[in-house]
Amino acid sequence: MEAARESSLPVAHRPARVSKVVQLRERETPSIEKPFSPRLDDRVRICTERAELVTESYRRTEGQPWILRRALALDHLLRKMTIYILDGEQIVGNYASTPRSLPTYPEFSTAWLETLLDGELRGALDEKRKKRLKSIHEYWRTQNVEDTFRKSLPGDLKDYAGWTGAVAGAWDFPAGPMIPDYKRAFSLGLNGVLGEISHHRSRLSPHDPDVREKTHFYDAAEICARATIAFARRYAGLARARAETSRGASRKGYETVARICSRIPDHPPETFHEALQSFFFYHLISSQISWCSLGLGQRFDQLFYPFYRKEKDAGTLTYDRAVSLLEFVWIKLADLGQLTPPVTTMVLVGGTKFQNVTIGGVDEKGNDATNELSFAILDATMKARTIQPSLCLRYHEKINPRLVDKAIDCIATGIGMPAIFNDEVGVKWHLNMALNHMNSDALRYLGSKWPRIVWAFLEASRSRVARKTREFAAAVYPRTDEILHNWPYKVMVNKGRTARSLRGGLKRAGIFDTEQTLALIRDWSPIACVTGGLSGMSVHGGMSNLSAACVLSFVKCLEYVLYQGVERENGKQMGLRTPDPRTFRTYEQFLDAYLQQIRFAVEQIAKVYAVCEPIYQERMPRPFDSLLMKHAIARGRDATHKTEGAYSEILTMGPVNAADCLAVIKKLVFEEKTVSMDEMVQACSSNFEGREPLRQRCLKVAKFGNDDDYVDTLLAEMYRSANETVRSVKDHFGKPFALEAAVVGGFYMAGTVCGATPDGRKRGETLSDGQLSPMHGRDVKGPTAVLKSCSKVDPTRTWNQLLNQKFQPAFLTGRNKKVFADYLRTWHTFRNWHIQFNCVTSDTLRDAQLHPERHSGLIVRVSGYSAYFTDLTPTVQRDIIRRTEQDLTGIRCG
Amino acid sequence: MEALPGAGGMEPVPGGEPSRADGLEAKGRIVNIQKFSIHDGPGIRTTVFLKGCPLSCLWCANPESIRAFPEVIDNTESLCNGCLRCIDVCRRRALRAGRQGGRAKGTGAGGGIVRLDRRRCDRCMACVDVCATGALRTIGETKSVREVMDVVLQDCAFYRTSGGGVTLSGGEPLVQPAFSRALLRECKARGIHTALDTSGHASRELLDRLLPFVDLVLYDIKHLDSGMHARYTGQDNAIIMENLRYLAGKVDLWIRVPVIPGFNDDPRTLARIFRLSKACRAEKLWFLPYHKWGIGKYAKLGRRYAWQRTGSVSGRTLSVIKGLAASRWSGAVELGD
Ligand code: SF4
Ligand code: SF4
Repeated sequence: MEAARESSLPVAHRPARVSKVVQLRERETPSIEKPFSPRLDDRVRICTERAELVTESYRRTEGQPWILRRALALDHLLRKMTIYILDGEQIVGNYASTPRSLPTYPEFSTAWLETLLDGELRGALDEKRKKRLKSIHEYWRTQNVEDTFRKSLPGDLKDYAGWTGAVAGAWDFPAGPMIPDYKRAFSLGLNGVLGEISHHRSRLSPHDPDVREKTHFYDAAEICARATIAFARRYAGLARARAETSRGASRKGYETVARICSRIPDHPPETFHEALQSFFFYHLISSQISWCSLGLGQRFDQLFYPFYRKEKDAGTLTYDRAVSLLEFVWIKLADLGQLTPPVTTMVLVGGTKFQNVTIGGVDEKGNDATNELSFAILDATMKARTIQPSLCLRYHEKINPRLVDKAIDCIATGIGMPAIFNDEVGVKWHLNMALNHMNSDALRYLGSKWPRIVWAFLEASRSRVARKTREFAAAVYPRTDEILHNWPYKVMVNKGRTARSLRGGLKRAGIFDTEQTLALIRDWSPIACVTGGLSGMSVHGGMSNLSAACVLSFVKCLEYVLYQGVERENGKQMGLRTPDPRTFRTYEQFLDAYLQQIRFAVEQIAKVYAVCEPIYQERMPRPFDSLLMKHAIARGRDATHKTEGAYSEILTMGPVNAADCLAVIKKLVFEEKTVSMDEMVQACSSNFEGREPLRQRCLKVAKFGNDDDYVDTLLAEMYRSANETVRSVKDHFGKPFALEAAVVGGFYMAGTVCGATPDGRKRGETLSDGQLSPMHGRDVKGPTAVLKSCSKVDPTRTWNQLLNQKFQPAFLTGRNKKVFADYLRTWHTFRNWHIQFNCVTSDTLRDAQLHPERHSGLIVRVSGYSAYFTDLTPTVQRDIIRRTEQDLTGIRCG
Repeated sequence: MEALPGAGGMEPVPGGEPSRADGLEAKGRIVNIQKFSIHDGPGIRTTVFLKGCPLSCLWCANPESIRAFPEVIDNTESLCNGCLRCIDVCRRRALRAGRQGGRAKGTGAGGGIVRLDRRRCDRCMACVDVCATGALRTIGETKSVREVMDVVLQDCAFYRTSGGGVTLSGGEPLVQPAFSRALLRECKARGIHTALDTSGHASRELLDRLLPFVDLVLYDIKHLDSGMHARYTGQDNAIIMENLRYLAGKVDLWIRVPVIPGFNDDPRTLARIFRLSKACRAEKLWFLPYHKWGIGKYAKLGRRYAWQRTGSVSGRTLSVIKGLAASRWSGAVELGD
């Protein structure tokens, strides 16, 4: 092993991790101990190696284009960083110099880390290394990305780049989830990709206005590809050396690793094992070493099945062996982690990585895609019991009931996985997504990676713009690419010929094919928290490259209506100055003011994005990721490039609470008129101090989650109008913003900055834990009522609503299993988007709070992912306990 | 002791045949409507618990459903916040501030500030109306069939996918025959599967009037020995046995047996229950082991829990049941929840 640069403090838990792997090797059907999951605690070590190497490289490359500098830095890193193979590991690859340490990303931001180094992370590295890290930070202090961004913000926007107001952004954490197209990478091998690069480079026209940019891109991509191959070779070398000094089974293991790492990733993988190893190298470099981006949405069972089938048929692989190899990958994925700024850590409670592994779903033809590997993946998850990867099941009408059965077994283990996604909604969702963008800026898409999908929408849509666009596209389709960027929109719509004849022509010419469009869409998978994406296509969100989250707090906007836009925390005018609520005569006036507040907040987000995005785009291109995307190389543009059809999204916080609030105001203030608006404002501003009876009355008004139309329709309506409002604001590319309903664990955080609200929630209490999850303890009519309530919100309009349900294991086993399966089937017929289950009793949880030592392996699901219960803060723990337990044996009275 | 329903009992059996529309307005006294009920028949069900029961089993886990009239549930111990508004409205002076009473302390939660004297209380429910915390609540709302149907129909999608439906339980549904009949009839008219959970202690005529609208009967058997039955449930089992024999073969039958340690958990009694179930061609035999979750409710209702042996069902009993099921029974058997 090469010299470790990591700090010399003892790493307390390492032996456990190693022995787990040994166990796995020896028995191959192991019961695995809790794997190391990196978090901000005293056990985390900081590995300074990455920071040092990267900075070394950046110092040398000053003055060169950023894209090249990034590629060169990655190259330097992959060639120089410490690598190791733990005894018994069959899938290799490490991202810091020791298993228990985490690298840092000084080129991105330094400020928060500086603070932590003197605070919580005091023990994470020794003085010598701390000094060295600080001198590195010295270099970056005035030129890291975050700093550049903050300096560029005009004064009046500075308030909106924090966490206090209705807008909350974790700007100091890079994200930008994407789904790499591994199918392509596997079939080409990096050699093939390099071939593509040189092919397209040779066809570059000297008259191309972007020729310089494109050349840089190709250079950078090539550097990354070669560095990756070299990285794999280093493991081959290390494994060979280890093989020489060991014997028996472990020698054999090293030899296998050496053989595999000297073939891939340059050559297409041939065996299941090779494919998994290729995948892991790509994933490791893309999501960890090069850039801490979020997520991996992969249809694992589809991606690896050909390799599995081939070997299984040839008799060189058994089902059990496949399961244990998957377990090795799971352990690897669970081992990955990142140091994140405190704010982000609170958003991603438990330091999750959103490494989604998807099973189920349909094939290109729309038939059930379940295969043996789908089962193997569930088995691996049940055996490994790691909190990562996050398992997702695409549930559809024709799904194999045996797979559902097994998925229920998996949920019943209390691991909180798989999360279940509605396949039909996923498909429709992708259709809608493009359609929504279509109306205002359809043409931008036509030249992008979406043409076929877009075409399908154009066909489906009846809107005038869509029709015009369709006509135009039909006329110019073969040349859209060149024309798009040069022709003004108006000219284009005037060139219409009749669409139908042209479409027929295009079809005959094989240019457009509905089946192909659908085939493409049917390959969707969940990415990040609960968003859907297409492999090789989506560099997601307005954050193609941008921060983890720009969050719109629905609850805060509502507060601003009560206080006319004044933030009560600091007395500043942070919202819009809407009229005094006491003057409102009707509920509609209130709602109108509310929507104005939302619009105002979104406008601030748009302004911040406009400053932020160009900086990110220049400074943080993703040449490595571009290797794995479908069209980046052919187009000569980096994967983050905006023509890639990314859209700007706004995440939401507390919509369910907001709807509950609206119901109270509508009912008590405007309909019954039993409470005056003045009273309500005062009650909220005084945190219901001395007004308990009023609070009780507020609590008695219908709450979301009880199949009560009064409030359920308010939520549906609020989603609808908020979505319209948000879409009416354009981002800096002139595209409408999209309202996304998915926000991870941010509700804990967002709750702390919200004052008391009319729904009876007191100051600082958390918000509901999902965009469709009823507020804790307020859904009292049982799990069927929750689903009914949720079914009233259109999942294809505002996307990604997250619904948490908690069941006792007893509901999922024995004779109840069938009932649960039926429950799930009904959920599916309601066309909701997502559901996930916590499956533990609150008694267990309470006991775990008192005796964490007895429950260290206890996994719970925290909206979107699983975390170790004992790792969570007491507040979060309390909330999980409170989340209404759907208890059938509930005592009926009292 | 309640009189036998239908035999000059509490609710007159209406003469003639009411129309379905009239039936919609029939009123019943409801303890609770429970959705996602998965232990009262097949599939996902909605169980309507009716108030009033002719038996009074000592171990009853749902004491709130025994009496036919509305009762005050006194949860002040844990929920009362000391606002004392209930005392102001009680004309019978049945409520008094306890040890920590006094308006000045009107903020704390819980602590048993208010005491309810049930001997004075005439159940006017004025206090419940003003209590914001839920410390004082009524159990036993009066609802029309229409209102109950509104709730029942909400979960139709679940009945469809799971083969579930509606279960009438209690208490004893036959205590309110007109209401039960109208409700079952309405469900059937809408194609919803119906189950009747009954103790069987009711007149034959009443059963007959309901039967056309019932798909499944969940028949509760406590003991086969009449003396034992009378001693522990307040009624002997003659009518129950007779009705069971009458029902055999007429309708799908599940037999449910609460397994009460020290009452009916001896091998001999259990064996007799198996034999009886076989004789009356029950489809399924369901044993519900004794639990003491209901004890807390007695205090809230101002009653005393008279059943002494609160231990849980022994492993030996369970294995006896399993053994009997294996040797003497061909139908389905369920043990516990
Ligand atoms: S009204 Fe309710 S909360 Fe107030 S004193 Fe009476 S029991 Fe307690
Ligand atoms: S129900 Fe009526 S009589 Fe009884 S305690 Fe309440 S107010 Fe007094």
